[in-house]
Amino acid sequence: MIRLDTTTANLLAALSRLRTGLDHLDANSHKIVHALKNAKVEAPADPAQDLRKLREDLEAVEQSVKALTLRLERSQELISTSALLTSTLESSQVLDKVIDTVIKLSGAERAYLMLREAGSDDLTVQAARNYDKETISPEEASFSKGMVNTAIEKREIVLSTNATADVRFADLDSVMDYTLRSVLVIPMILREEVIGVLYADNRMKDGQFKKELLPLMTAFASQAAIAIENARLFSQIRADLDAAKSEVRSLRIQIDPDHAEREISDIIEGDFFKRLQDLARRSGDTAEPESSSTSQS
Amino acid sequence: MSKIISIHSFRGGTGKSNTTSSLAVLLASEGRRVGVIDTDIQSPGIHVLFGLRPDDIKRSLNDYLWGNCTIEQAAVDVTGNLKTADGGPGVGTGKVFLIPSSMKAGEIARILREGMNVDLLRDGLRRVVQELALDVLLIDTHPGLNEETLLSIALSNALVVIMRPDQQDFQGTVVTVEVARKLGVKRMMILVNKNPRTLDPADVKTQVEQTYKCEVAAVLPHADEMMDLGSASVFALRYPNHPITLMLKKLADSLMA
Repeated sequence: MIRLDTTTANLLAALSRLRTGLDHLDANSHKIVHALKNAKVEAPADPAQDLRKLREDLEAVEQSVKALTLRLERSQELISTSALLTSTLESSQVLDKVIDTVIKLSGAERAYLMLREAGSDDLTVQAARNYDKETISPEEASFSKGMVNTAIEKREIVLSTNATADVRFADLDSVMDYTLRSVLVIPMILREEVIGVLYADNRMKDGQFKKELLPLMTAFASQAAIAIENARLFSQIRADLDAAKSEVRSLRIQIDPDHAEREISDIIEGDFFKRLQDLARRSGDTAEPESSSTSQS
Repeated sequence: MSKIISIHSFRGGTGKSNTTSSLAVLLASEGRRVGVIDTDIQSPGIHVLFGLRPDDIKRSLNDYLWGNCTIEQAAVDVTGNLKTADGGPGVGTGKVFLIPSSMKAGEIARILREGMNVDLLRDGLRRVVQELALDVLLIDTHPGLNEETLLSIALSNALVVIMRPDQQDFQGTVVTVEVARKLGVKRMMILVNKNPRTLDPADVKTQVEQTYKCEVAAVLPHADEMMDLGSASVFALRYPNHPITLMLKKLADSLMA
């Protein structure tokens, strides 16, 4: 992986040196033009205009480098997030990692992960944490269901830089009740189906979530959906396996008593068996022969 | 006092010879002199577990029964063949003697044709205990209830009946147990072998004890290790810490108590 910190720093330092050089060139050109004027020599052209254009181009390059750096950084974050999500198949761990990553990538104050139960449209909050990675209890949970429903119905991200002032959500009581400011709702789509949403907000700050963040969050939501589905399948397989293991058959012993009786009679009614009984009786270590005591079922 | 213990099952394939060989090793590893006699004269096999090849068997139980040798002359000291997994002595100061049955097809056919002299067998069982100064003689019987097997049971201080949780074994075992009772066997235990994972061993033990009114010494699970071993060695030697070995050790201790 590219070391962005040093590569970007080197590039920006080189651009800075170019700007300094440009400043020197600008100052010197002024002196030269001034000296030529004093010497009554007419300069063939004023270099100031060219230098100004050069400076503008340089600044544009600098902005492009910064924008590119930011995109690269986010791409790298996405790659590392992917590795993080696939590092475990434990459902609770996956959900917590998804929430923490949403907060880390977006700078949200709180984040909620809601999933649809199999075969149902109802959403349930599966994980809710704040910036300090503390769990938000169901009693503390406060989010706009209306904004969540909008994201699900439209199957697209809902972003508001200040929900209380956003006309789109003016009729949503929850927005006013919870004084929601920055809100970001991302539907998680897997195989064309919305399996849940990621909800992030910041109640203190307007404009916390920028539009530039959306491609990264969309890509992350796709990864999170796959990781959650894998964990869910793993959990299901393990449950099925446990069920199969615990499905212990009960032994059924079936004996045909009449058949057994006939076989026993055939053996014990002969002279040989009587001789053996005598032999056994004479042996000091054998007990007296018993009468039949086997139960048959 | 010396003990004679018969290891029997009504049907073949129950793991009788494997169990007998492990019991012999476990009993001998306590310093005892242990004899094993293969009375499964129609289909002998326990010699393989003790590392004997057919050519190693110079005299057999058949020779004794035909008057060609004494019973103790038919005994082979197999102690040296019994090695631990790392090649050390398998039974310490103990001794294991095997009185094998003949592996020769002609001799097996002859004994089947002529039958076995049960009086000679009776005398032989008693004599071998004395002549080899055995602490215990294990009789690996022929499946079913023929005259030799009935004699072995009649002469035994204890009988271990091996069965699998299998419908055919259930029926045959009830006959064995009942006949053994009528012979007055002092101590009788059932050993359930090859119990599948799907059957709860505690439930199997309870049901077998209730059905046969007989102590169940152990319910041994089906073990892939036993299949892998393929009679190449004595299980208790190859897997000394396996749960099956530990259960057989308890059975061995109980038989000698």
